[in-house]
Amino acid sequence: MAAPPRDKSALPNRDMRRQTLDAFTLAVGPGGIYVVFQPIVDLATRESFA
Amino acid sequence: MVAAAPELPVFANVHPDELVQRFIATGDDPLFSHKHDVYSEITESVPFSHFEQCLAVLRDIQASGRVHLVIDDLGAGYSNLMRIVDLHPAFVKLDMQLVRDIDKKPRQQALVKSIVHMCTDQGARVVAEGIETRSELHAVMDAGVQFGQGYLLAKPGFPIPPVTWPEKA
Repeated sequence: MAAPPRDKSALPNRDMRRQTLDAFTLAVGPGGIYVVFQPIVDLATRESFA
Repeated sequence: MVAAAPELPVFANVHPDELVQRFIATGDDPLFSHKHDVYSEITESVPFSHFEQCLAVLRDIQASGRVHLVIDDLGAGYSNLMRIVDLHPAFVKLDMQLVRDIDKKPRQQALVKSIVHMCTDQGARVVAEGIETRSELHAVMDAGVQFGQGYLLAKPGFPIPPVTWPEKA
């Protein structure tokens, strides 16, 4: 499945970061942006780095 | 904090306009309250309107010790490679344009290999964004890319999706 295009005009701001870091819950931020997470994988260990 | 991933660092986007406004460096920004390392992504596709001013704020953020800089979307926009020299990023994320069909384009793979070499020389690790096929995964690994992100490995979601390493990869 292809990844959807990203909307670079709606980058997370301070409030979004607070939601992301404090709550870590699926939330609708300013502008109706969903907070989701996508792991960054260490290709040597095959485990999630972040 | 970050109960869903207590042991993991977090990458978060920061818009250059937020650097110009400087409030991100005041210490009470959520970036500084996370218990683990935070990687602040500065998208390369958005030009810095006041680069010198932004650079000073970025230096302040880096001085906190646990907030690191990431150049996001390298290859998507203006591709000012001096940003890598000036900003001392911990990571550089390659835009998916550099990853898409890399397995079918030897010249593209050679370019990525050169970028990885350059970033390594500058002390930055490299993340390939938008990996969608096993062949693309093989190709970026062969080019020396150390980290990957994309639908092949894990889709975006919440709770944090598990990593699925493709069989025979």
